[in-house]
Amino acid sequence: MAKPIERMGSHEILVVSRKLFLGGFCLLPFLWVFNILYIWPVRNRPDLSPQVRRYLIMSGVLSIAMFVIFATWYGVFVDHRLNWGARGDTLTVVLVKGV
Amino acid sequence: MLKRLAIGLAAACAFVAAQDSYDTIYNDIGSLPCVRLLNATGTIGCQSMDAATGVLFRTDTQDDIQQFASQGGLVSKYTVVMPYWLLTNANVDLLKSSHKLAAIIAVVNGTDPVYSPSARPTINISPDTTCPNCEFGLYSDNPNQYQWNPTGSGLLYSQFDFPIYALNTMDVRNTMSYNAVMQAANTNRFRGYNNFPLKALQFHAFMWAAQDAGTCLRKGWCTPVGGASVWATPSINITSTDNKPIVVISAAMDSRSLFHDLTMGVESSISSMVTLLAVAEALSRSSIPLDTMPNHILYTLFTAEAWGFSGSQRFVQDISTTIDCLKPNGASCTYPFYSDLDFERINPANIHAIIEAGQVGSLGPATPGTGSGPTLYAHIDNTQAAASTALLDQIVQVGSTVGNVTAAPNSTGTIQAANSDGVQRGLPPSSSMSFLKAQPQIPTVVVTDYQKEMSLLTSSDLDDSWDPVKTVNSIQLAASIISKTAWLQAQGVNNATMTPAQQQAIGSIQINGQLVSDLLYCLTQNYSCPLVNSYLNVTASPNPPTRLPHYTGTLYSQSQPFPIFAWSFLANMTRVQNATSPPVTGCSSNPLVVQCASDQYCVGDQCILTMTRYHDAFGVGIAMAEDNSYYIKDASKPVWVEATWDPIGLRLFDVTSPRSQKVELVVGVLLTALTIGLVVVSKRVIKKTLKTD
Repeated sequence: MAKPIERMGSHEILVVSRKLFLGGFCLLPFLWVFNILYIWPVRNRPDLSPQVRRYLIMSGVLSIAMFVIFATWYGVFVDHRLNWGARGDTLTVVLVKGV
Repeated sequence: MLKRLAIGLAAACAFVAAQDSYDTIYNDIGSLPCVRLLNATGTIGCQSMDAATGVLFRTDTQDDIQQFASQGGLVSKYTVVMPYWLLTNANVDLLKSSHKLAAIIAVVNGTDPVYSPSARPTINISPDTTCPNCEFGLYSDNPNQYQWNPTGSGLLYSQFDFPIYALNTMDVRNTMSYNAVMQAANTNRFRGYNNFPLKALQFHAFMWAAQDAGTCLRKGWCTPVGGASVWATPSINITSTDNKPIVVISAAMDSRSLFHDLTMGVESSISSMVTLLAVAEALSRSSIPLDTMPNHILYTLFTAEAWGFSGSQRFVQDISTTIDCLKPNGASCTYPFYSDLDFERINPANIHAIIEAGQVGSLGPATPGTGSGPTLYAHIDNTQAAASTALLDQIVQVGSTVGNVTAAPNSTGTIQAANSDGVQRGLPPSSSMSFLKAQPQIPTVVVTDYQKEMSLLTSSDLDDSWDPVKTVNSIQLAASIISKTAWLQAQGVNNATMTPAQQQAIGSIQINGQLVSDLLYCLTQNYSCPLVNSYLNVTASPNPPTRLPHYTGTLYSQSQPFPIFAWSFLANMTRVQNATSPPVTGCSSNPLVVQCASDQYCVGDQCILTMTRYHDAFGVGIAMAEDNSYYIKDASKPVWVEATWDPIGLRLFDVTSPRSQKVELVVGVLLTALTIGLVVVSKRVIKKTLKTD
């Protein structure tokens, strides 16, 4: 059982936050969202390094950016995949019969 | 042990019970669906994305349909049962706009008087376009080309996003379906369509097809529409370099209609196919052997002609190009695929005349006031009129000597030039167009029974009957004229220059009326007839086929009963006669003992030598890749494909009124809530009781 965030030392929190932030670049944008949610309860602790706050803000910006990118891509894909011909088929995991 | 037995028994009982309750609720019905087809730009035919369900509603007249569409108080979705001839674009639009339509059942033939042939309208409307397949024909570049089917409704090219099925009392199984549906529809009518329970039909007609032919082929959800054409020549030694002129006698073998299981096309194509087979039979009895004549005779029977002249265009394309076989396999070629390469012996530059039989099954009435009887018409292409005139004159001249008393009493001529009224309409839609597109100078004549307009039954599901006197006479007349003209062409002579020996020989060419009648019977009503059986022994199968559809089917995936019969028949008619040794018999009845030589074929229990071959027929816009998949090579040419389906089915069941369905739902929900409550309460009670203990 992992230690609850409230009982972690400030350095420990800094390490976790950095790991989650960097981990997000390995095509795992959900780690950025998780970073914010995880650190949220202790965000205002006075002993926290200002570095943690920076990680949280950047995680937030990046996750919103990824959301916008994914949402746009999804919209474009759903709308246009049938017009892309063979390339559209390759990008589709399960082809929908009848359309 | 006992426990296992009990479980097994319980499972078996459950299965039986489930099957029992399925059978009590549903009645599965044999079906004749309208299916989805695709071309280069889009889709035609029927599709339904989910299982449509509709209460049966019977409409017998145009008024009934109008009344249904405007009637209030109808609460659910309906399956409208109507006579086939009321299935028009206008009625479909009307029914769709009522928002009450689930599906349509069109009755082609039925035992109820409203569906009898006598109830059919006197003027049919062809569901084909105003000029069938002309977009792929010889005059496709001409925006004002002559319209041969001016009343055509174009229904075949419409798209329907709901199921359409046909009923036809053509055999026992379909009569059972018809009876079940009609009985249910009559029950509903008796109950006024509001006294529940009512009878409903559920349809499964999901087509995998997507967008257009190219997309669908790429995804592997479609198969090219096509089949096998057949060509044959009595000249076994024909080569592309023998410089001997070739006389082509051509006809189409397939036709189309909305319901492919019903496609018959007696007038649309069978009349021309029967004509060609009768011509081949008559010419085979020529006292001057055909293979000794100065010119070759070539019979071509094309399939998939109803789909943009696919059969003839592919044949002409293949004989006109040098086949570059990348993967040879003996006499055939694996890639590009050809089951044989004998067609390369036909040199298109040597073709010296084409005589084609079009729709020839129904001679029209005599022209009033002119004294001339009903006649056939010979069509030529106006742009190459000079080349064809001699052939046209010859065919008209032959017609005047044939004289068919029954078909045309007191007539002055039995065939006349279609342009004798001074109007140049060019060729009607025909296979000859494919030849002329490649070799415009070939003299060509197309013989039909119409001068200006194709039959009103063209591509109709109602084109399924023939008259034992009129149709037979009409075909006999066309076959007589074509056979004698072809004979003269093959001899390279005309009536005036014939020697007495030739005059006697041409007299020996007589069309056998009984054969025409037998062929019509076999090809329309009973494939297990004695004539077909003598070639193919079809009655040996556990379910001898009777009426078979004349839709060409999909390439390589369906049996091709008519091409197979045509091949056997033509093989027999063009066989090499060997006077010195009698033919080897028993190859079919006793295959383990008697085997034919490698260059011979077993036809009707005899080993024969013949130059009769199949030729694949599918849209020339489609090509086959090395991995046997298909792709679109040229979208401007015919590329018809048919969708793959989920299993298609119809089932009949009782529905309760929408109100009682709601009550059932509410009761069910309440019952579930009550059960959950009971479980919770009893759990608590038990817990308490156990604790106090």
